[in-house]
Amino acid sequence: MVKIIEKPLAVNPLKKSQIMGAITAFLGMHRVMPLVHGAQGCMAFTKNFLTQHFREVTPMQSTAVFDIATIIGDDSNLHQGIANVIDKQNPDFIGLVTTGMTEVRGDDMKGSMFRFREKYPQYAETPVVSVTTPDFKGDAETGFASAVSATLAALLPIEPVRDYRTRKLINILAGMHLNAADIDWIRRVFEDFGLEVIVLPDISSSMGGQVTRFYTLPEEGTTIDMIHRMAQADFTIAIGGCMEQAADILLEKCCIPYKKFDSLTGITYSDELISWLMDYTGRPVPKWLKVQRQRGVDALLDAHFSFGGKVFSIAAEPDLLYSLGNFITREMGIKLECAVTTARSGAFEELEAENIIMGDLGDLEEYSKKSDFILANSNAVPMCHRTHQPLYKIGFPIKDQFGHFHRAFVGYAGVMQLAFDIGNICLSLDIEKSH
Amino acid sequence: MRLAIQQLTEEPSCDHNQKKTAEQKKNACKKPTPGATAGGCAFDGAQIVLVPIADAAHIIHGPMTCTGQSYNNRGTRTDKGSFHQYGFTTDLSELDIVFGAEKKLKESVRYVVEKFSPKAVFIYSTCVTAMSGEDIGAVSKEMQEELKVPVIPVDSPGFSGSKNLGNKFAGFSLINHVIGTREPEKIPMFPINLIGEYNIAGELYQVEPLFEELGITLFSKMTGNAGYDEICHAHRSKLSVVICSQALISLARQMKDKYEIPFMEGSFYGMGETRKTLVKIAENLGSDILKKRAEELCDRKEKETYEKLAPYLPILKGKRVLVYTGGVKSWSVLNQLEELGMEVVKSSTRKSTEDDIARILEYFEGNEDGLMPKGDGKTILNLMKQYDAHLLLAGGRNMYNAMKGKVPFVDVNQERHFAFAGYDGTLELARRLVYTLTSPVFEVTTRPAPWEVSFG
Repeated sequence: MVKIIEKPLAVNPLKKSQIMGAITAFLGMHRVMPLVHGAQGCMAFTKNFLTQHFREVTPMQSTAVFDIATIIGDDSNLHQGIANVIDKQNPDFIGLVTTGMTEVRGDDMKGSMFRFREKYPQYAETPVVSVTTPDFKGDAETGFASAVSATLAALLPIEPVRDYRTRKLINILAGMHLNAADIDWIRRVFEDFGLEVIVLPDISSSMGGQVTRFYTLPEEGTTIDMIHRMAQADFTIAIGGCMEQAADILLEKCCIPYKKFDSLTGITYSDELISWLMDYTGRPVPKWLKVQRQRGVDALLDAHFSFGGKVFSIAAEPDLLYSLGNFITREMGIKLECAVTTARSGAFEELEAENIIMGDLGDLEEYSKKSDFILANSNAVPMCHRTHQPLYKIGFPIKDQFGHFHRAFVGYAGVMQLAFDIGNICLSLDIEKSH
Repeated sequence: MRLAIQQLTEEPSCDHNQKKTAEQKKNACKKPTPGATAGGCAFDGAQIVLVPIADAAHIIHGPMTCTGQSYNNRGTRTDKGSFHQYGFTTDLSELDIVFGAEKKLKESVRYVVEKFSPKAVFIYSTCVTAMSGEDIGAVSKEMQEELKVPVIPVDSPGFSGSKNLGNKFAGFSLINHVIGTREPEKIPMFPINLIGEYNIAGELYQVEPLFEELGITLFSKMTGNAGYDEICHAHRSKLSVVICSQALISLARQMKDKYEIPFMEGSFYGMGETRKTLVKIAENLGSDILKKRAEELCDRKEKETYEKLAPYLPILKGKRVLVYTGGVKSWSVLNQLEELGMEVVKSSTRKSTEDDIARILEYFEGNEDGLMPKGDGKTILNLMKQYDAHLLLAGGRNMYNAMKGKVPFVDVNQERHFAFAGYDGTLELARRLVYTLTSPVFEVTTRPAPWEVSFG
């Protein structure tokens, strides 16, 4: 049963707007410029937010809608913004993100883009992927999913040429809850089963840290050529409930079947993925994976002594909430007191929790009184300071900690990481008590 | 609202407005270029000024971007409360926008007052609520009467302008709804208003002892480490000192018009500036004894600071710095770096007033080569190379640009963790500069990888 706490306003929001999710998705694509159609604050807040989270340069731009005249509205800002971005940065494509403001004034993006193409034929070669992301609807995860879907809808070739003989090209639709280390693990596993993968969006390659060059556009993520080639793939793996929508587009447009994983965290889900890969490829399991599974299992066994009797609470976007919540309750055996999330999507309603709440960190504070520790983003720091509960930082944003983006939560690697991290929190609680 | 914007952008004390012709004035406060912008909106600016008032709740009437991506992100420090870490928002849904959300806003104010008992409530309008025509002024008035708690409307839709304009909106709300609403219990000998100082990373704590020692009371701080009550009686101060040259000068001028409080500008970045500011404050307070005391204090502090600086100065001597910051810092920090024996090769002029630029030019002895227009990370890194600069001093946004170029960097913006004001701040800045300049990281990370070494 999902609860909604009756109160007129959000107190310490957990939710981030769709804009932030959509931009994050675009940052995982090669040489795309995310362009926010709205007042410049929408972009500036998001840029500040993501720069601190990733500790990376996060290119993005704004159409800087300004002044009453523009509010009433022509589309000169939008046109000028697109033209300027192409002149200055010459991106492979533009990811155009709308805001509450432009949605309220009822901007007709399709019509406006049509007029842009008419007016500026010289920019015809730069595609513009437009995503509708009003910030009075949905959450970051829906924005992320919409951006991926819109990219596919706009850029997939209409009549894909397919090579039926290989069965070797796999699309991976990577949900917003995946860290760089998660994407790296998934890619390595697929490749070691002899498959070629295209990850969309590949936020690991672009935001995972690189120092070989300076960039004004996100680089090394999924390229536009790869996105075109996704139409030729044989199979799609969608990771996270929010990616199903994009998988459907690949299915409908290019007849590519897909399998959706609500989570890849924990032994059960990891085993399910490896079984699928064994069936699909008919290949043996690489040795390193066997070793890693043993390590994960061993870590769980070692740490389980301190899991018993513990209670925790968690706040995150639906996919991350389900992945971690499910693993910690069902495979670690720690009781879930309160799970707070931001939108109704994915599988999180299956979680066994005292309370599942659509709400904010204010609700988390109120309904997590029995919890031994908390899983939430770094905005929960002041709260945990008040309540003296240890905080394990997950989700967006994590501004006050290095390396969170390189912790794996998926696969056997994730099992080991989480068993150790959560185990250490529980262990120190036990040691504190015994003193 | 429209009137207010006009009034604020035509600020006569704003240096860059005085010299303008009528035509130029129409374009007061430059508009950003679509597709080539940096920096926040007016709502962001309003928050920067007001959110440090941490015993008051700040309710944002708008959709999620305005709060979800921005709250709990201020480097401001305070011991007056914790509301600067809270995000309160009406989180508007589509239905709220269609049918209006004033009722929701009222309930929100009631909820916050009942549950958190703040000293006051600030309500911010945003793009969406300004467009849908929510009357936050009326709501504030009604709630204030009902709840007997001050409720202050802040008209700050992001589309109305830049951060700078938002600072002014905040000042507008303070002068119209807060300042002068309460009388102080007693008025000290030398009460002053400190305007535009937000106690980022604790900078106020670095200069507060100086004032204490001089016997000057920071009667009303706007708004670093300020309680709501102290701002109410700002009209009883004898002098306003504006720290950030541009943003809140309109507030100081309005206070002069309304309450005849004279105002002056100042800065605490660097020992020279600190001395100048303290002495000028003493002069403006009209006390010769105070002036003498200020000079003596500065003599002593400078001597102490130079002693403490001794181990750092040889390392800093002659190092070349590129400064990329804005406003008052674009010149005040130059003097601070010069005091440390460093050489500034270029300083940026974005967000600077003509007066600011004149002062930068003063530093470069009139050579306009020292001025650097707006540029992206690439431009900055190229300039670093061209001028053989050792270090970049800039805001957090450029931190990772510097790291891509593998150049030493010191952060001088809002989210930084270190305070650089006054004497202790100069010492801290010297330390931070030395730490980054002498870090072994830069040698190790610029070394070629084994496979990049050619065996010729």
